[in-house]
Amino acid sequence: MNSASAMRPSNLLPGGVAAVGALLGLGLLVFVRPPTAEEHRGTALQLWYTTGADESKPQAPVWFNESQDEIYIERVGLPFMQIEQKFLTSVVGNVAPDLFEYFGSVAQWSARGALLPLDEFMERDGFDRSRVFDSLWGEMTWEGKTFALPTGVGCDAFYWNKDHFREAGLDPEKPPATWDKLEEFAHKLVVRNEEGEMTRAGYIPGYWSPMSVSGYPIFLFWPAQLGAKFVSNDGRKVNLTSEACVQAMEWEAGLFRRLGGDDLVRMRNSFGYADQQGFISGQVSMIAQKNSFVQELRKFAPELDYGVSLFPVPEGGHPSTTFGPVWIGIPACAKHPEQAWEYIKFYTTDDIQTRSAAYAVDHDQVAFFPANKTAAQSPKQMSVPHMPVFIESMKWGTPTTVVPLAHTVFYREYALAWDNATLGKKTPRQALLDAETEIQRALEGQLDYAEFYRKHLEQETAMAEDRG
Amino acid sequence: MIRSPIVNFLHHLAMWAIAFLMIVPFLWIVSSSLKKPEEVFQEDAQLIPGEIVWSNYTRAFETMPVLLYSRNTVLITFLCIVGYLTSGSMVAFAFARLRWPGRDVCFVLLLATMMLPPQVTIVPLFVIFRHLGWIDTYYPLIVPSYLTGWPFFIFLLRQFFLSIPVDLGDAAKVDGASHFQVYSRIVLPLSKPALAVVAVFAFLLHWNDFFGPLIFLTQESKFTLALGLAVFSGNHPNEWGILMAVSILMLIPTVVVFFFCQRYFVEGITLTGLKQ
Amino acid sequence: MKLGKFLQRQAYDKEALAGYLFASPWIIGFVVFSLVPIALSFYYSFCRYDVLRPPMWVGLENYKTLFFDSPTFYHSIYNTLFFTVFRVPLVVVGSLLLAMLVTRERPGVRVVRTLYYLPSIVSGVALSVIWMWMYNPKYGLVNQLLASMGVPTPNLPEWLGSPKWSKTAIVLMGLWSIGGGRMIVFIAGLSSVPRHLYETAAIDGAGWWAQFRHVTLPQISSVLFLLTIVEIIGSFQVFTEAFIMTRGGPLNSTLFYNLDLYNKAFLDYEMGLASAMAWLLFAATLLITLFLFKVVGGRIYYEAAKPQ
Repeated sequence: MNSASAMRPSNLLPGGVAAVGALLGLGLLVFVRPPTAEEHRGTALQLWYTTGADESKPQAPVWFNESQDEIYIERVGLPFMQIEQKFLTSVVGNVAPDLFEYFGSVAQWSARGALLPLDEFMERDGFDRSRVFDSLWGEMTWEGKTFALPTGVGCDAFYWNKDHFREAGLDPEKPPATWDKLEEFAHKLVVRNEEGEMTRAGYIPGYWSPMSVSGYPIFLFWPAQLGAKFVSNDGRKVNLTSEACVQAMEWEAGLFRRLGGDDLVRMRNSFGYADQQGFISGQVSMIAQKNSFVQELRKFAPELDYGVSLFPVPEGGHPSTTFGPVWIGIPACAKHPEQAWEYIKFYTTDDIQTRSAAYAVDHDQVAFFPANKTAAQSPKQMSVPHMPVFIESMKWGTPTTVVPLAHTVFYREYALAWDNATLGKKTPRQALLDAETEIQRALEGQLDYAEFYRKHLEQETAMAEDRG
Repeated sequence: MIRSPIVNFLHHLAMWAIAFLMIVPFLWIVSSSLKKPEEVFQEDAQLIPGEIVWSNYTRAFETMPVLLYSRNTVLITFLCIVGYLTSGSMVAFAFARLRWPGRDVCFVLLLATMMLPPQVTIVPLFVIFRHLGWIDTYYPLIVPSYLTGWPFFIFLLRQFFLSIPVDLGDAAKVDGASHFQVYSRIVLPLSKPALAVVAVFAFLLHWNDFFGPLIFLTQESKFTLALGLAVFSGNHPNEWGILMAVSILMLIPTVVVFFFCQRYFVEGITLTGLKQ
Repeated sequence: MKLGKFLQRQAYDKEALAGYLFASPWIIGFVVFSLVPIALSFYYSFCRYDVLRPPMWVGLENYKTLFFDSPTFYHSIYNTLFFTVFRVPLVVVGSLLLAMLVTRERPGVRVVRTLYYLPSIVSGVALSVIWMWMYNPKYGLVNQLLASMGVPTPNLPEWLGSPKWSKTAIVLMGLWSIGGGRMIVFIAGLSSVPRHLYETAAIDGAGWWAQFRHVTLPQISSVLFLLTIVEIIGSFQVFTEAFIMTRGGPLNSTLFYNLDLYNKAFLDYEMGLASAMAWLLFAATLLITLFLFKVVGGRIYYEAAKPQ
């Protein structure tokens, strides 16, 4: 290659591009730095929490840091889709945080030895369990030990569009109180256009998120209203084929078909989030949603006139709702458990809980309401629309974690069964039976493994004692 | 071969029609990234935005630490490219120009690893890295490129080295050059095109890599662009304008590299000698 | 004489040492990142393991569970096979056709080749995010195009939201990248076919199709074969699209084998079960590759070597 051709533009170009690229890259490397830790004094502890779409941060750590100098809490936010897996990898990789605040199942961690039991701390410092809604403690414990403290709650409620009710000639202040009334109203609320396409659905069973099928949430409160218990008392046997479960699913599947079947599928698939959400965009008249929905309504449809109530109840049944707690715990391998507990103590006092709630309300972050009874009933908290309904629901709650050791399998299989039943691919009984079989298999495997681990720990402590 | 003008015309038509189809999605996503949200969610959307807004791009920078993720991606990609070029070329040299017992067996093993599904090794790798304390660091993403490299790159370089006349090396050895000198003074300088190909492909590979960061990185501040986009699309599932803007931002470096280094893409494929 | 041989041996030993030194990064890496993990994963496949607690030996139970007790195992195999069988011919033939369109030098062909190659550099996450938007049933480009061509609204497929169409959607989006590396390989292969073979065939009266069958095809058969094998192996490992776009739904219609594996490993903490799945995938890949090489490979080379 002689010098002339070597100088031709097409030969210089890659080199030129590489040079420019290298410069840009270098610039990025030099000038963009990962966020440095804030200035602090005292031992630094890391608190992991879940970031949602609203980018809010917990405030209690800030107040804690301001109140003393020995311990500094650093807040690290993780996206909610990844936080579980990240926590697992961090515990495994021995890079776990000192504090973990999350809203999923506690037992799936405690059963695996990933969290520190807190009973000793609680005894020593005289923690009063009645501060918090009683129904929440079940989720916090595993095999008699407490592994986390509840700090917040989310529960489901029934929302209806009052304007739609008026249009359809229904009393806007009277939501359907029974399953039959729900169906009756839903039929009346449907609106179709000239081509016969459904443009407004009265009610879409199971609709909440646009990821329609094979996803969360699952509405366990429908079968719970008929008295269904999904797992035996000792937690060893899954039961999804009780009469209550089958009846509830038969009702939901039938309702889905009677209210429009394919039409509902199409509408459900076209919904999105935020202002594309079905209820917010006025395309669905009644919906089962979380208490945090109040927030979204305020943000995206402030003009929407809606009501909130407990769910319609079947003949001979009782009200119910599902709730999931937000909890805070200490990873078992945390390096500063004592200091971590100091923060937890601080955070769970009535005073701080009330302040957190007030802060959330003031800043439009009402995704969860406090687990602390005093805070939940404080004036600021009660000013959140429909708060009384949510508090009332807590009396009838069913926890969302039903099978702690096979939590993900449970939800995946139940969702699949629900989809198969409502889309008519399987009979409800068969769908539930298939789900039950699979969940039972996973559960039994996990129970064996837990037993094995228990023996393993016993051996280890025995060996340590021998040596010691 | 003489073809009728009709066939010729049809051929040209097909060629350009398909080219147009290939480009349309690009036009669509660029257009979506420049539209206001109301325009994006329209059933009768137009290809040309009624009003061009840059808000999707500004919001992208606000909601996602694009610069930080870019920095991380650049860091990892660069270190990996260096790894492939240095150790990869050394290993290829061993396969191509040196004789040692077990060489051919090792080469077959190398080819075999190209067929190994990553799923087989990911869990044990995770456990191994955990014991090394490398979880949530960049080591699992970078160190392999200095050791095993990417089998395809070693294969490619070996093929290229094989095509360099043996006499050149032999002449140098007669003059007393060590193997390393043959490697560094003769083979490497002659291999610039092949090394450039490896660099280009390595860049594409790591710029888009998603699975490794997904498994091994925990803290958001360490994320790469691909992982950041994946997480963002999970957390903000409906913000199509922003998602398109971020996708385009991610694409720009790869498109630029492609346009200016086109011939390396072609050379890279033909270098493997697949056409023999 | 003896001295000469001695010096030769010395040189040979030195070369062998140099060989090991130069190859040492790979050897170390192979042992640490390939050999050991393969052995470990084999061991885990006989255990129950969640990485937090030590592995518990359960013998063949994981394999038994997969074959007899797992509803998703066969479904994920079906999904992956469907995907492979549908996608491989489309992609291989598609890129061959494209290559045939642009091999001959004619005005504009370089620009067209570039345009064809461009989509293939979009990969992984960006590709999935883009196509999620393209496939949006109401606002995405695909349905909007279909609607403007006259398809009535109820007949517009739900694509990623429909159990019927979801796999097809993922296959079709692969067609966007057929102008990439594969096409280049085909172009190289096509342009290396000796011209005189075509001329001889034309003189013998062979039309376009006959020329393709008897000249082109045998000449590029080895390339075609290799690319198909690579494509099949790649299709078995489909993951990113399903992970980003559908998470396996709807109704597990896009639950591909690798996604099922990921779910079991990283969501259900059943690492043992996942390892068993990984090994079955490995075995299947090996067997199918060997089978194809033995059965079809022989014919291919015979064809290519046949005198014209």
